[in-house]
Amino acid sequence: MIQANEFDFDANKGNFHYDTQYAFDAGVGLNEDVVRYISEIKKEEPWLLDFRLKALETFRRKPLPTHWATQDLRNINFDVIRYYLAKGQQPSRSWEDVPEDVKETFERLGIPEQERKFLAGVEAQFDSEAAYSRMKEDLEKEGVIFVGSTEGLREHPEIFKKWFGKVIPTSDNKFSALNSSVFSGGSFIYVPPGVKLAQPLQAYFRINAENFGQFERTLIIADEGAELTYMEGCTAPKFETSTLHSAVVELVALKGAKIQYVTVQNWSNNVFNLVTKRAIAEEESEVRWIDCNIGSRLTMKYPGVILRGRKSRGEVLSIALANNGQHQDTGAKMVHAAEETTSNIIAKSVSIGTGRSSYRGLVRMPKHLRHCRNNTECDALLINSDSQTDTYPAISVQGDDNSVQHEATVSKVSAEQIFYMQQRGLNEAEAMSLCVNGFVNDLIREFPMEYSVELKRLIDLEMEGSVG
Amino acid sequence: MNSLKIKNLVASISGKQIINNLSLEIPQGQVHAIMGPNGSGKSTLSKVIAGHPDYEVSQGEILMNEINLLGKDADDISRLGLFLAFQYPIEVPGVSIANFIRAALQARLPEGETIKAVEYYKTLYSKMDELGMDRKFTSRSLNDGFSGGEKKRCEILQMSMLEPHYCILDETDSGLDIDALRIVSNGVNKLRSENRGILVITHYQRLLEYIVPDVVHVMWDGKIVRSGDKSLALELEEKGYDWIKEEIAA
Amino acid sequence: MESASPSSNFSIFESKDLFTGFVDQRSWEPGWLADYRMDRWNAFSSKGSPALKDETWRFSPQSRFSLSGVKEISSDKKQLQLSKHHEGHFTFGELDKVILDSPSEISSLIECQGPDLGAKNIYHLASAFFECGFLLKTRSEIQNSEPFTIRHRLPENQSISFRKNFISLAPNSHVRVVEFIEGTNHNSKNFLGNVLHAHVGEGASLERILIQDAGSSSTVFQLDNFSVGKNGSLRNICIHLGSSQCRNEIKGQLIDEGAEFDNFSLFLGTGEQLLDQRTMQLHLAPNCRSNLISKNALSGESKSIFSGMIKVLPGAMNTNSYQTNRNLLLSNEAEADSMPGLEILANEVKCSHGATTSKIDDQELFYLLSRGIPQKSAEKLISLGFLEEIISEINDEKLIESIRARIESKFD
Repeated sequence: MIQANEFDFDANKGNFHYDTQYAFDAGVGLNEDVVRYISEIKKEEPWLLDFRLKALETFRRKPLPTHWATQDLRNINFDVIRYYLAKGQQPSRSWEDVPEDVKETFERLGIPEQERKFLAGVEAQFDSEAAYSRMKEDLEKEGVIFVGSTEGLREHPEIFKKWFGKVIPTSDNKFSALNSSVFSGGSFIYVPPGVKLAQPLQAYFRINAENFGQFERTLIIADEGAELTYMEGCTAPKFETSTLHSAVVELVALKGAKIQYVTVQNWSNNVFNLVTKRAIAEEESEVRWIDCNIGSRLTMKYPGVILRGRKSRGEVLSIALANNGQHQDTGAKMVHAAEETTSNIIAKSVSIGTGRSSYRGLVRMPKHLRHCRNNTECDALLINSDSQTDTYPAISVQGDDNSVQHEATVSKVSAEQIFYMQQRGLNEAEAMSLCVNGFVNDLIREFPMEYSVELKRLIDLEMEGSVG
Repeated sequence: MNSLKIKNLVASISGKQIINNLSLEIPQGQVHAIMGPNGSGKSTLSKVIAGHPDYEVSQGEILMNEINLLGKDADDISRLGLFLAFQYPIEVPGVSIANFIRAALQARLPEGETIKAVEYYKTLYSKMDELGMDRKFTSRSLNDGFSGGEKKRCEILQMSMLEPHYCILDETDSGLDIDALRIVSNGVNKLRSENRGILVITHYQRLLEYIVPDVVHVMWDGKIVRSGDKSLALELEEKGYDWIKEEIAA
Repeated sequence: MESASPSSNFSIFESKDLFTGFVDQRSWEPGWLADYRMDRWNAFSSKGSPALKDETWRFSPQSRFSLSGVKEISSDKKQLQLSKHHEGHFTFGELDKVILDSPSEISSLIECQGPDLGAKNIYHLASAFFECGFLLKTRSEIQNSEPFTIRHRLPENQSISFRKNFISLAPNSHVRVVEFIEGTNHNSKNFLGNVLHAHVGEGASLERILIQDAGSSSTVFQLDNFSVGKNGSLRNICIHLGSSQCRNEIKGQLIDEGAEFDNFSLFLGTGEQLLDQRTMQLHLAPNCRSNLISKNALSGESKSIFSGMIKVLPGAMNTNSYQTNRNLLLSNEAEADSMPGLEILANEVKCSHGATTSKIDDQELFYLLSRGIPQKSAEKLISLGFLEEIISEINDEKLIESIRARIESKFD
């Protein structure tokens, strides 16, 4: 689809000014004042404040989904979380203007270098707001919009308001409601008809403060025949206390458009990562979620595609690694709502130590549709004797011309495989690592090259200490 | 003189004794063959030498160039220079041959050094050509969905890439047709050298027509019962294993 | 509390007097049984209704399982008929008779749990109100070639019959049990709450065949809880043809090494029939094997729900467990919901599941048409072929013939 090529990046200097302290802090806990505070800082229109306040009500009303999800959700203390922290800046268009501590953070994460090498645009979010945001100029000329959520809703309401909160309604779940009330940051992207981005746009989400909740909001609209790849990376330092990341990501692929959304998250294991991601696919469009979940204490994420247009196609490719004390509860949702729609789900998970990975899936084909197809494969690999895996797919099919195929397997690396590789001189840990890499290899190939190298390295790191 | 020396070895698995006081010495530069009927302990011997964790050694020594191999992990033994070509090579899905051999070579380098990709592929491809292997082979998953012949060729490819001091070929002829047998044998013969000892384990004499051994041993009930030159293999072929059985009984 | 559960607000089960009246009539029962009934009744009364979004009822139109249409608990014992056998090293009889003659036979079994896969209320009610049922208990090694046959008839219109059934096999006994659930009156909106507890002892084997062919307005709850001991073997085969709606819960527990459990089921759905099937393959011990195949052929506006779980507990090493759900949609209005699940807490395991839903293969159909077979017959033939995999698991030619005949008549 889209190739990542190298290109020269001509850094444009901006002239913004920053403090090094957080100038804006909504304090601890969640109430109406916090929501008003956030809205006021962002100088939002009344309808948006109203939207936020209604969402707060919905959040309060909705119970935690513990009737099907893990009881660990009860350990989130919403009263000690800080919901908004920012330096009060406009996002910089030059790395040189990014505050030193923030810049250093992103440099260590390799973002400026990646941008130079192969990206069409970058947005780097530090806690609640973007610290850096830049896109290649020629794309701007073509009418591509790549801004933060605040700017998107303020400067381009005619484009974004129509779809904002429409793919994922506030009341979808407790955490989408939470996000809708306190969201800040994220990417709002619009690609005009026929514009095909040759290089990916990237966002980087960094949690820096303790007891912090990051609630970015992303809305991507690919107009008719447009194509783009969006990549997001996520990290946070390890704190003693828990941190909450709860994003809402809405994708809209209009007729014939193609969106590829790539996530590589490497959260530290104090992060509750509870994310709602969904796409609407119109006629003959294609949406691919490519997702790699490493780290976090608990991840709950089920990217979905509502296949609303004829011949649209949805795909979720996901890799999850659950290490000691971690629970990767991930999956996919495919709602077929038009004829001749196809969907494909491939999910692979690796459970290491006491790690637990769960797959939850939903595939729905209502009646009166014809020629709908779904294929689902879930494979789980267990490394240690106390590793755990679950699979909970739900498949609902009507109509005598639709077909669904679901398969799941659970296996472990065999002692004979390890011995064979040891006989060639690899030690046990290297052998195990190679087996795990082999297990996820066909999915890793789907990631952009720069990411797949990084992924392999991350997997090797995760495998360290898993044997012996 | 350098050699792979096995002295008075007794080994068992799950409490069942398989190797009964076996002694054997393969000097560098020589090719030895072990023949024996099914269940005589041939494959067990190769796994014990290679350090398979399921086997328990209660007595004896295994010395490779005077280094004791007993108690060492399988990967240490491999890096010391012992190569075992498996009778049934294990399938490892998703791991390509090229990456696997590269990882094995990398494991032999001192820390900080890395394999040079260009040279590596040059060597790999030339060895593959010798074995009549298609280049496309390198991107296939290790032994995954391979035919019997492909698996055995892949074993010989690994052997020639890792350049071991001693090689054990466990029933490498099983499952091979005559053409594959010839190619595999040629591969092994190319590896014959002053600095290398080779032990060929086989049930049939056929393989020894292609890989001509210096010494032939006959294994029975977990020990070596006869040794001789290559004519022993012919004699065995002619008279069958029952002959040995009678000889021992006598 | 949100409701729309099997015990809806307007049912007779809301009345406290119901239970008091019931126990009064059964004052002859031993005290421990009266206590047990009371205990279950309290559990039912205090439980309330399950929340609307109860996962164990996912996809299920719960209103169809409502007991609000029940006006009476049936006490007609003639609804249960057992085959006659020569005396042997076993007890096979109606529950009431057993309770009267030799209550000790049943006192040790009464505390057996239900499958607990969602229809808890029905389990509690059946345990509180059961009046008939059967007990099959072997005392030593027996090899029974003639199957033990049980015919469950459904009660009068607007009545429910609650039954508890027990099978307990001593070590090394080999037994076949055939249960029929039958109703001939298709206008009768009757109900059956049927619970089976079965234990397969060490080295013993049980083949249980259930043929559910209730009347087309009936509601059937069939709750089966099996446990299999060391090297024991259980084959459970369920043929679902009748009833308007049937909830079938099956739990197979592999409690000691070497136990095996095979479960085969088929459902041929016509009209607005609904089969709501929930299964659990529970591995508690190492070196056990289980395999489940569930096949549903659905025409008209019929619907099947399959929710299957393979659960492997820590320590249950060397488990081999498989699960397959295949659905054939024969009409545009038919619906198949599938929830195949795995919960694996041990790592030396081989587990997999597969679920497919599709229509009749076009090429298959064309092949038959090209041989001059009319469309309807061709569909029937292909559907029969689809279900044949399950039928052929039955080791009884005569029974197979009668099942085939029942299936074929459903197509007419």
